[in-house]
Amino acid sequence: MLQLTAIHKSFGSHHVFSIDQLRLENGIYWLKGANGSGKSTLMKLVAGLLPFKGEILLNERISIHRQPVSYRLLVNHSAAEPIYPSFLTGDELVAFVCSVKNGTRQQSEVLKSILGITHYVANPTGSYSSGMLKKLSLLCAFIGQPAWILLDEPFTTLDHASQSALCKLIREKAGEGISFIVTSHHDIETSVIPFTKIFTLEDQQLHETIHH
Amino acid sequence: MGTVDKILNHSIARPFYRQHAGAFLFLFFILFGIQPSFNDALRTHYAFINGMLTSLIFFLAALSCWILYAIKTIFFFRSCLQKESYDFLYDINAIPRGKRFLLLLKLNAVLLAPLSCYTVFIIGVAIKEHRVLSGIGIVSMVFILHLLTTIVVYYFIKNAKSLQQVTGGTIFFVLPKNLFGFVFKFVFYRQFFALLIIKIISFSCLYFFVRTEASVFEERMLWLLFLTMLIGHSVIVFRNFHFMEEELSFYRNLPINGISILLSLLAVYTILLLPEAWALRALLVNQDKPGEYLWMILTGPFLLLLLHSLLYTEDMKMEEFLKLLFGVWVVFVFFSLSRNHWLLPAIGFIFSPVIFLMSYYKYEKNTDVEGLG
Repeated sequence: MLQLTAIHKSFGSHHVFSIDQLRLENGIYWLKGANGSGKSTLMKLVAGLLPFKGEILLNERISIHRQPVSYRLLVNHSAAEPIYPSFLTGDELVAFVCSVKNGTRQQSEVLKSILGITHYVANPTGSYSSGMLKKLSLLCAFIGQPAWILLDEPFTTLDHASQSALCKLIREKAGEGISFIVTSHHDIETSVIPFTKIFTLEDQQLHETIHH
Repeated sequence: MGTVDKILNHSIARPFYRQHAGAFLFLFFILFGIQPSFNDALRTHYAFINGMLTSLIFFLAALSCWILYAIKTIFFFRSCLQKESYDFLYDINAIPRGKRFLLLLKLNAVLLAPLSCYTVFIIGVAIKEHRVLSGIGIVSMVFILHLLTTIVVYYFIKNAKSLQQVTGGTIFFVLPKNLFGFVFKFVFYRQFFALLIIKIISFSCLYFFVRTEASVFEERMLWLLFLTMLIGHSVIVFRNFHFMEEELSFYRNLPINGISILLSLLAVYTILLLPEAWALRALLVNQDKPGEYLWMILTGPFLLLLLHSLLYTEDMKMEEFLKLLFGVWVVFVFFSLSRNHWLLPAIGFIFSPVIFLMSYYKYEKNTDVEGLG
């Protein structure tokens, strides 16, 4: 369970959004919103990448501020536009993330195979296309034993086969008890990913959208 | 100035000088600031130039430094072209060859301006000392350096797109796959020439100063020099910080505590300062001051760590960082005048973790306002 309380985010004098209270039970959530509405900012904030006013609690006891390490062990994030040092290879990054997120070599090998990145992961990331970088970022987000995985625009730049593989992976992991927050500009068939709820970030507020 | 000139100056020359402002200030201090007066500084440089005009070895030593600087500008240009945001420069290839070469020659004149300025002094001294032939020789070498640099840059821009595929070679030793390894690789891959230049200056100044005869050796001057050399490393600290916050930004989502991050950085800075530790060892042998040696080798990494930690207090541009550096330098020089030199590493040891742990999770780039997504 993820609980956001009295969240207020602004960049200087520019107010981005406020969330008084949000309680997300385990499930898969779709976060929608127009460009510039603050979706990526909210994802980064929940991932612990950006500072903010308010509190985020995981499972009612792990605070993002007071237990930053424990929190980050259970919340993984894949950026909308991932950036990695061009001189590092995908393998180096994966090995590093595995070591800090308590992932295993076997787990990373399986994920590499599912996402189809086995053939280039030994090359420096500077030689990757945006789609290849995206897959590497997605792989890193699935490493370890996370309780929540935040996927920011996961389908952008992915080819059709990879999109299907990712949807399947999300469904499988959700079945194992992992929760997801997904942002996407693409219309995702709710039959492909069974969303628990859909939210829209609009007018600096988060609204729940009824879906059928 | 034409439109293309303006674009080249705005996108290459200005960022070059802005990024290296710290290094230029440091060099200026070394070349003109450590002599007792301005006249002494002029006399020193007069002697330098005279040396170049009369001794081939002296001239070759100076030429090596200039070549190093020219290579630095080439690498900066190359690193710009490797970024996709610089793809617009590719359009310069549409300009006729002669005009394109001239444009790049003008750009190089701006990048190599410090070298050209010094050449003007050389011409003056050559005329005054009636060594016009040697002077012409040096000026010709500088001109050839300008031309060669331009040819390389011309080639780079012609093959700009293929440069983006170049991703660096392999390092000659295996580094651990963690923050220490990543930052260390970054220093060696992306800052090699800056590091080399800083190390040559820093090592030579300390190595020769510490070997002064014991009867005239001035401990406070050595501290002043050492602290100045450490501040000279700030350009590497500044870039490491931005590397971590931009290219390793995913690091903030990883379950790693602040102390581990600090220890990794301390390890990087300790290793980077090994040449200085080696240069200063004459403090043990020639000056018989083991205490001073210990405080100095401890002050080095802790001061760099303190500078790194201070960068988390707010999103600073290089200009703001320079002001901060001056403040830190003044504080450390002040404490170096006291008898309790243990205070210097102690300041770094105490304040680095306090500042880092208080500000790490609160740090935010100002530019994030543009990328709400």
